[in-house]
Amino acid sequence: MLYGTAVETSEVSFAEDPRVPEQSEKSARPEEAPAAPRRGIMPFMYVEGAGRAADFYKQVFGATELMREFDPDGTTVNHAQLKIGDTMIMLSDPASQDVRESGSQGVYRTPHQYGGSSVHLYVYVANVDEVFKRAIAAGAKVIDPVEDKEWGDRCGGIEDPFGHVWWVGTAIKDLPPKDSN
Amino acid sequence: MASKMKTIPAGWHSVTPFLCVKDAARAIEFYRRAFGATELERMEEPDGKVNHAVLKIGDSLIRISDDSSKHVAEWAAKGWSRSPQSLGGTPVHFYVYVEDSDAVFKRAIAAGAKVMEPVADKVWGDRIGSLTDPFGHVWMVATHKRDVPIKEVEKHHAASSRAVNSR
Repeated sequence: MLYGTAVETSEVSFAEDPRVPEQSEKSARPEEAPAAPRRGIMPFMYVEGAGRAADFYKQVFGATELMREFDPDGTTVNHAQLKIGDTMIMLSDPASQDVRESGSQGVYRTPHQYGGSSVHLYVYVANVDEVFKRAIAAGAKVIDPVEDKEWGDRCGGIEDPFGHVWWVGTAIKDLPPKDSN
Repeated sequence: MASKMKTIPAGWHSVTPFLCVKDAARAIEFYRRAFGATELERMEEPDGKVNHAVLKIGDSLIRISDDSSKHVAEWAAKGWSRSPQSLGGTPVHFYVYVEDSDAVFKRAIAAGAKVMEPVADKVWGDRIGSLTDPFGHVWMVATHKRDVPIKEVEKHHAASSRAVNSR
């Protein structure tokens, strides 16, 4: 029996891909697209207009585009992969043929379709004030203005034009890592 | 400049998901059992509701708040922070890399998750299965099995009349 009490105590092993360069290193594959990070948790976000959303995240967060996939019409982006800092995010448009043909579009909906979101994204950037300004200029709404927070970050909250919520932060105090104790 | 402080605190990645869930205390227990999450921090409100908690899954951290906590009440009223149960779904799923997606998938199902799509090998080289956890969040549990040149993925997509533009 695989799932007895062992479920409570055994550790899950997570993939550590030695080919993935650390964020401070240059890509080992300069002639190709950057390798997609194959570790950890990557948000998979549903948006109306994956191409426009990719452009917004590139412009505001300085994301790098790893891949963009089109419907047969050649213009509707059904899927895009981006890297923000060291983290990969994926975008998908529920209106794309790709998702419509999957037959399960009921579970693939955007924040606008749901009327909100159950997952916010906390993004660390080098200069929160600059990124916040860029975001607002690009059409994001302020949820919480930028201010110094008690947890050691300077941080503010926005809702982007696609309904996703971001907390943009820059660490301003040196605090010990969460799992240092 | 070498001593300049890092703008990302140690242990965090650039992007961290912040999950709103109904009954966060039970959700944390589920993530421990299903994904081997470790709890790094938990702040409770006087009535015991999880104001916020930080969990580590693999090399990544996630934040969790209870949907009825004071922490999110103000945002929830404006629709910014509601649980998947309250919204009827969730617009952000999670793609998580583990060493053995079959084993983790089975554990998650045993712990109460529902199968969305059983574990299978995908053209892009990952073996993945999709599940909905008991709190409505959606996870794609993946293990990278082989490197697939982008040309091969393109060929597959061309066969199914789609186009990929890799950069």
